Amino acid sequence: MDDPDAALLARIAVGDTRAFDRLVSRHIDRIVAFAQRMLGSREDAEDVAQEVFLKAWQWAGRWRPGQARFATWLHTVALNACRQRWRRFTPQTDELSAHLVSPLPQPDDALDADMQAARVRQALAALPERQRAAMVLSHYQGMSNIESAEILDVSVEAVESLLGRARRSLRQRLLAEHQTLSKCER
Amino acid sequence: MSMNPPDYRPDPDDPDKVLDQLLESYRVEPASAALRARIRGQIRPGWRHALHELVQALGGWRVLAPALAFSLCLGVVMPLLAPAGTASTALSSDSLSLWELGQLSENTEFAL
Repeated sequence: MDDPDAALLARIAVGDTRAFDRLVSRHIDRIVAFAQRMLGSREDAEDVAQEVFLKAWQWAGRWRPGQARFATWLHTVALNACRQRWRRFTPQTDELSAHLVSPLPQPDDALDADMQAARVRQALAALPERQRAAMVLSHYQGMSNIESAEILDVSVEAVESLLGRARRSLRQRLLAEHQTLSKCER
Repeated sequence: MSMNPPDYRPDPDDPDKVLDQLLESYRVEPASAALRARIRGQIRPGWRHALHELVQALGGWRVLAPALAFSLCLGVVMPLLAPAGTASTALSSDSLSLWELGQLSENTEFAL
């Protein structure tokens, strides 16, 4: 398995901070996005990203190329950090999102997009943890089902099942609202 | 991560495609410079980094490793190649005293 991060990790293992900067630049946006969609909070997502990259720095010397892609390992660490946060804190429903979800259609396009994003965020937050993780990994992070299975520590069939249930729940929740809004707009 | 082209319009009768488009509306801001600085600030380079920098300053491992290997070989081979008379004698481990070693005890001028 040819990992594009293997050379950087070998340099990080001997304490090369420039290699670490490059590794962070390469992955940080995806890790923050993953954590934010999992936790629903930007602040928590940034804390998770900080924790994940500190672990990457500490563990680079023990990294063995060929076992798994480094990006997969990073997502596994990020998911575990998110789970620890769930155990410590109850996820909060975003008050702003709740406020933005209004049954009245708004003329402003930007506001409309914000409302739609808030609805998606709420629908994702309402999913059970593993369904949400499978959905975020597959849809937003572009992970294959094999990689998602590795991160979630389940079989590929279980990932397919989680995705099927997640999409069904999201369809029920989001499409009903979408159709109601579409009718209102007409 | 959508595979759809930018001008993609979902089929209104296909709920999966409409769902994909709705999910795409949830975008996340890229990481801020402050977060990158925070991450950079928490790492401690330590002795590994200092050693790495020293090795780099001395020309990197490609120069340093053969030089170290050569000096090690030299240290092993040189005593073997040197004539027996020139071999060094460790005074502390030797049974001869300094007087005997210098053959001073046989010299009447120095006789006690």
